Amino acid sequence: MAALALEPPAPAPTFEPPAPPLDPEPIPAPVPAPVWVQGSINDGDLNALALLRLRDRLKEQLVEYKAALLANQEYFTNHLKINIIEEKLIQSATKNLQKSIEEVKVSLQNKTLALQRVQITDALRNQVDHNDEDSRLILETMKQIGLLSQAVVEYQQQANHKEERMTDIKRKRLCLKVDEGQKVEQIQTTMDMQEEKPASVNVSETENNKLEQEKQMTAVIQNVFQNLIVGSGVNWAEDASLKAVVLRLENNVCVH
Amino acid sequence: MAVLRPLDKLPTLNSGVLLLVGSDEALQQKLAEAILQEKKDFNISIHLAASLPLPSERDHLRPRIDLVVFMIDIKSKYSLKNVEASLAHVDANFFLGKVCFLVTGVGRVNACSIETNAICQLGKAYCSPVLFCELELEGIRVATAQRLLRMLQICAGHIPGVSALSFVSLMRNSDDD
Amino acid sequence: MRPRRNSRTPKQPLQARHKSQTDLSAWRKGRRTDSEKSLQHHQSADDQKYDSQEGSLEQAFSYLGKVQGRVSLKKNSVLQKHLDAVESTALKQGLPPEGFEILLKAALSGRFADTVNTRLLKSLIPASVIPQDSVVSAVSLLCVGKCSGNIQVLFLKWLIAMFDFIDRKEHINALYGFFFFFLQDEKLCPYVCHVLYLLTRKENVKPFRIRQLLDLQAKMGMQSHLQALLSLYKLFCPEQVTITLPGKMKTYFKNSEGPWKAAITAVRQRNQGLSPLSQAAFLGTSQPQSRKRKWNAQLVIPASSSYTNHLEEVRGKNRLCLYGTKVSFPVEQLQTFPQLLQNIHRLEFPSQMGSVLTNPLLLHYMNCVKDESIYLRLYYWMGQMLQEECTWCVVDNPNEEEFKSFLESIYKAECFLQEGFSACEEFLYKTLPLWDGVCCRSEVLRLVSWIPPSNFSDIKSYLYDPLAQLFFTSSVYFKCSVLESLRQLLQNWLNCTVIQVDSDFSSSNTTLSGLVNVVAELVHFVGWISTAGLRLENNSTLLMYFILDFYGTVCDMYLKYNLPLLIMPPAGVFYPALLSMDSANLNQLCHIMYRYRTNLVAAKENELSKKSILQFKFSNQTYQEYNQYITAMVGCLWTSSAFQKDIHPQGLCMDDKLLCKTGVKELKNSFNIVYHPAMMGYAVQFLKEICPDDTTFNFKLIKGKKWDWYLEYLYSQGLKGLKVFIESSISRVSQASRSKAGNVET
Repeated sequence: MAALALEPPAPAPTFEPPAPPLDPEPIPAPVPAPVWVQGSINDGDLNALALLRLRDRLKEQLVEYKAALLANQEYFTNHLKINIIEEKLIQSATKNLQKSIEEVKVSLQNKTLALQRVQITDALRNQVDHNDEDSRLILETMKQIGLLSQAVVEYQQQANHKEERMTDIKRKRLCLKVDEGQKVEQIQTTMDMQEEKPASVNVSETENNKLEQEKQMTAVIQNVFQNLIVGSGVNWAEDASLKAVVLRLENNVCVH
Repeated sequence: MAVLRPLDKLPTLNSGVLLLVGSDEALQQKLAEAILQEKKDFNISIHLAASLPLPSERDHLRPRIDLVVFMIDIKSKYSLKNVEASLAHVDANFFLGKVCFLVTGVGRVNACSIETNAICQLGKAYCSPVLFCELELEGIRVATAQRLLRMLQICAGHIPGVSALSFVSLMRNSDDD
Repeated sequence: MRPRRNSRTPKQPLQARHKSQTDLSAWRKGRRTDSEKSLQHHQSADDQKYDSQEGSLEQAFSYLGKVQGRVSLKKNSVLQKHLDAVESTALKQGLPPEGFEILLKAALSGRFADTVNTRLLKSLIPASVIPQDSVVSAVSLLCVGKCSGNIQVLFLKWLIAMFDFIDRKEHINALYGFFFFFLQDEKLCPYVCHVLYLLTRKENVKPFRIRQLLDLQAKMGMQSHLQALLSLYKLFCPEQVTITLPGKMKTYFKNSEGPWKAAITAVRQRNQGLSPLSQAAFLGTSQPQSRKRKWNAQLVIPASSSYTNHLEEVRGKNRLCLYGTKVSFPVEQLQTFPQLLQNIHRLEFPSQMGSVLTNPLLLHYMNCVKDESIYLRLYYWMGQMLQEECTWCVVDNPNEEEFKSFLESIYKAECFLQEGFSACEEFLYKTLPLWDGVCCRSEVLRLVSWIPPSNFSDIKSYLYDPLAQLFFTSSVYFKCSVLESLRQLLQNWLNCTVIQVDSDFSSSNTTLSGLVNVVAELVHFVGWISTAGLRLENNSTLLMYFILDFYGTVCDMYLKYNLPLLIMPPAGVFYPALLSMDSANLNQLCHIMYRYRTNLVAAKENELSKKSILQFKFSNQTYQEYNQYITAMVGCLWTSSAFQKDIHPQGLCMDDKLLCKTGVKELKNSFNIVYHPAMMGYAVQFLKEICPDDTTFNFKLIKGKKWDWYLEYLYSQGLKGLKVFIESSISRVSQASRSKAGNVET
């Protein structure tokens, strides 16, 4: 049974919240599904698989208690005050140990997996030879798995093929992007040159400078006008011609 | 008993026991319900407490606790203080993978009154992972319930080859440097 | 202005609305005739209700437009009534375009008390669009300065919030100098900065304005809003804005949507129907009938013919009177690809960048123009959108579907441009730790694949760490999705090394060796989470598919992507794959090992002939690991000697005593291609085919010539990976070892 229990707060320290009356009895939980038998929910008995799973869990828990016991035999950290240098040393040692534990773990798991797989295929092979209902079922399943695997492999190949084409396209796109960027830059410079050309052809250097000065001056004057209008506090939008002027004051001067 | 210890009771067969500690009772209840709604292949019981220590008079009724989840509301400084005070009543062995900090209320970043950094430091100091979530949103509540359930399974020793300690070292790999 | 009665448009079917784009009143008349013809009785109470509502709204407009002198709300029930009418219509269906000038004038004229003005401004919610002239008049009134500071601020906030809904912007830009003037007002300054940020074009950046801004900045200190505007100025005139500005900031401006947030969403939803059709017309392509989204809001407004005429007119005038700018081409008019090509040198981007994401023509433009200002604006806009709309960070944002499609359109744009957006990268870094791994899963993970390569410590703490936490605590399906997205990430990084396109990329001190390191870290990270993942998921076959897919890219990095780097999978991945119960897994592993071999051989040859330009050598460790793995594989699949000869420290070499304990006879053969758990099905089928009468399966029969037949049979079943592996790694010794294998069998 799954249970949801409320723990009443203990009579406790300073900033305990004003505790609402809590129900000390466990509340029956909404989902009471018994679980270890999920492999055989319908008939409700414990099948071998569920038992095996339970055994694995018990083993795992046992390992945990063993480790805790072992750890508790070594007292050294509990009673010593550790300074910073030692702490750093311990940390790096921990890291190294973690690494080697991980390596051993992988090694153990690989070997265990190999042995388990050896045993299971051996058992399957033996079962197949029995020529009974079970063996027919196994053979049928194997056949299905074979067909499915074939389909999977086929799709994987198709996917690989498509992915390769995709990669090619992506690369072409990237190349194009570079080229496009250069082209647009060229266009920009050409346009800029075209704009400057008539000016430089028709107008001499000094005239050009003068024009530039005039332009800047106009911009300043435009800005002065803008400030004047704001400063005057006139509702310029009411006057059509004034409004038209206002709406042109941000335009830059240029010659066509 | 004042201090909560992880291994002083025998585990119940095929079950996992979760202790949720946090000051927001309604949110706790909601999360607990979400966890119980999940499909799982073991018995699960959830204990709710506003703070630690747990009352000792009911101690003999209480099963072994596999995972303690401290809920911190990012909007309330009080919730953080509450958790910090409660941590004193947890045995050091619990921090070998059987404690998790759940930060709630990240959906109201504007209203947050605790710096996430402070909570991360707390997680680091207690060698325990910190999960962030917004329990007011149903989708996230369900996802969080699923994540906690996975951790509970590991802490209860249901995944062969993965101990609570090794799992927490996976989760905390980042803090090493 | 001719009042148009179009406030009912939103509820109408799409086609009708499309027809009505240019002349809503004509459409309305048409609909009336329709309904008179066939659906007379249908001219329902609904219609009348709208009519009466429109009536009271019109009365309110005429009252608010005419009323003179200061009117107090308390004593005036007429005002109260009209105000209620405006508010209720605004909230329910939005106000028609012609209402804005009247109401803005009323609110800013100072005729009413501030409470009334505030209520008026807050109810200025468009049914569809806001005419720009109403804003021009409002700014004029702002110059008169009869309204209070609070109302001025509220008006600016409104302008920012509603910016997308203003039909045209050129007259508003003409008021640039006026807005600039208001910078002096300390209270208005942040909001004016935001308005200017939205308006600024290169032409607006003048030397005297730069000076004023710098003075202001010196006076007020480094404020984020001034900084934003200055950074934009600096982009346009780097030589004149000489101060150094701090890097990109999280938020430049405070959010101004506040009072109108819900209303804006409603307007966007109202405008939704417009999108597919107008977009299709706009792009010259037929688009799927997707919902209109707010991030392309302003493209909803099609360039009306009158607008075009107006523009032509303006240009004509400019030629005559020497006034004008280097005439730019507004994107609203950009409709075809040839147009883009013709105007590529004078395109002007919209002030708010939302439209770019979903518009292929603008994306084409972005693809080839390296204009920092575009990226800066996009960065700002996208960052804010992502932050505000993120459904797992903002509780009050229930609209997951909408956010999903926003993320989707960002992803598509990234794919189009073949690069990630920095705003998106920052968003991911910021929110991945808060993510539950479920909400918008595929969209978020796809965006992850466009994170640009950058230094390892950043990527580790912002991407790998939160991703790993999610990975370890989530389902096997999530694990698979993460691996897939990391594979895409790897491919994207590899692609950009092949063509060092990005100048940013090479300039951001990411040298080739730097990139090699970043890639190596990614591969190691995936190796680590894969090992742990397989353990947590009990060697799930599905997970293994995705892991091997990742290594399918890794094993070809040298030849396919010219990267002087090859990394073998860790033993925690290799052995579970080798011992897999699934033939597709095994086949994939064989193919990968074959590719590793090809790459290593090529590298060795290049190294020897010193042809290689790349001065990197693979570490000896890679060769060593490869040799260990290949020994294990050949030992398993072919020579049946893995338990003795596997030299990998985490491999299968085991004590005979231990092996005996399994109680399995002829244990040595267990992983050769006949007995391997993944191959057993094939062996059974093969035996059935060659001795159909024998009901017991004598696996020992497969040796000598039959071994060759069996191999052919396996190849015919599609196991191409196995074929290339055996032919490349075993063929040289094949004769000898095959006879040896045959001997071992007997």
